[in-house]
Amino acid sequence: MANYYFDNSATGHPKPPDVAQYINEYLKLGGTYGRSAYDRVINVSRIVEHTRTLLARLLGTSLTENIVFTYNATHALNNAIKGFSYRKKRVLISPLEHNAVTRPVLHLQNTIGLEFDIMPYNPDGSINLEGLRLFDLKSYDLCIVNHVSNVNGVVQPIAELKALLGDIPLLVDASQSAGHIPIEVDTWNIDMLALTGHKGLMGPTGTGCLFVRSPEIIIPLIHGGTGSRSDSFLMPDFLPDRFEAGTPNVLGIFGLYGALSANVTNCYEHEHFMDLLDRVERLKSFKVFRSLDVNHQASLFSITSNKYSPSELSEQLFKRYSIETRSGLHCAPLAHQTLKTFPMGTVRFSLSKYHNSTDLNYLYSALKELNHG
Amino acid sequence: MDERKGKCLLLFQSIHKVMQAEHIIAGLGVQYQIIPVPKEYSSECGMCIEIDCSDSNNLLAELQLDRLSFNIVIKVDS
Repeated sequence: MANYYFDNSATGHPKPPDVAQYINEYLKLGGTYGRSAYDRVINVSRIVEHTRTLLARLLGTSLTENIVFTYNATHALNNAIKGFSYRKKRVLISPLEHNAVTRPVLHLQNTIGLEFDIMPYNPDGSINLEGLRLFDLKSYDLCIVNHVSNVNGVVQPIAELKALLGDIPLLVDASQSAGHIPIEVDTWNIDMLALTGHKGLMGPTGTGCLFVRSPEIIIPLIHGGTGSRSDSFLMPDFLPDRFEAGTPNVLGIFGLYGALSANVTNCYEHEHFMDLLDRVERLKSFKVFRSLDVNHQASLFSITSNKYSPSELSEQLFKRYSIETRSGLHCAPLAHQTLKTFPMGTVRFSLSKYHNSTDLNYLYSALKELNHG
Repeated sequence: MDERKGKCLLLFQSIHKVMQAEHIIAGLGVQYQIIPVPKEYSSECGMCIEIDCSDSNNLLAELQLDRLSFNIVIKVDS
C-alpha cells in the first residue's frame, strides 16, 4: 500500500498491528501495575516488565532496572536536566538541540543561573570534536546532545564524544534515533538517555523512558505513590521505583510492548534513501539540509525552496500529491539558527520503516514536478 | 532452612525484581505462586513469591547469581 506519510519524526505512522492488538487486550484485561497480587495485576506487571526488558535490549544495556518509564522524551529530559545536581552550574549542549532540551536549560538559566555553551560544530551542525578538545571540559557539570537532529538527520558521534568527556556525565536525547539506528548505552558509556515510544519505535504516544546509569546524580521530578515502601513518606531510593511515582501509562506501555515485539524491519534500503537525497540535491530550486558525512545520516532530511516558503511547499505537497510533511521550525529554533534557516524554517521529510522504494520514488517525482513550477 | 517443610516466601523491593525472579524461577521449572505480601512481613512492593522450602537451596543460588536481592521468610503451614 502506498505510504505518503513523511512526518514520522513528529509521530510514527502507521503502527504495527500488534500495537492496537495489545492496547485492546489491555482494555479488555484491565488491571494496574503492582500494588496488589491478583492475576489481573500480575499479568499487567509482567507485560510492563517485559517492555522494560525489551527497551534494555534495544538500548544495549544490562541495567534493566535503570530504565524508568516516562510519558515521553520531554518528560525524561526534564527529569534529567531539572533533577541534576549542578555544582559548577555550567552545561554543554549541541548546536542542534530541540526545545525539549533548550527550554529546560533556559528555565534553569533564569531560576538558578545555569550557564550553557554550545559545542563547536561543522556546517551541518555535527559536533567538531577537535574544536571541543580545546574547551576546558572540567568546568562543566553535564553535556547534553541530540543523537539525531530532528531537522537534518545528522547523527552525532556519541561514543567519541563520551570518550572525550571522560567523567563528565553525558545526557543523550534519542528521540529521533531510537528505532532507526543502533544505540549502545553500555558500550558507549552513556550516563543518561531519553527516548519516546511513539516515533521510531512506533508505539503509542504517552510512552517514553529515561535511562540513568548512576541514579544518585539526579533527583526525581515527580514524587508520589509507587506501590512500594508504602510505610514511608519518602520516595524509595531504589530503581526503577525512585523515578516512577504514580500509576504508569499501562495502556500505552501495552501498545509499546506490541511495537517492540513486532520487530519491524526496514522496507527500504538505506542506499536508496541516500540516492534520493542526492537526486533531490540536483533539483535546482531546492536546498537540502543533511549530514555532510554519508555515514552519519539518519532517515530524515529537510529542504528549502527558492519558489515556495516552507509552509507553501508543504501545502503543495499535500494538496497535489497527498504527501504529509512538517514545515517550519520543528520546535528546534537553535538547530535552525545553526543551519541558518531561522526563522522561516524548512520542510522536513522523515521516514518510517514501512516506506519502500516506490514511496521514495513517488516523493522524488513530486519534488521534481514542483522544481519546475 | 530449606530442609524444613512448609512454604518459603521471597520478598523483593520492587515489582521489577519480582518479575525478574519469576522469570528465573519459571525457567528452572520450580513450582511457585505470586501472592500478596502478608502484612506482618513487609510493606515492600505488594507481591511476593511463594515456593516450597524444599526448592529453596537451588533457587537462592540462582537468584544470587543474577544479583537479585531479596529477603526470605519461612512461613510454616499450619
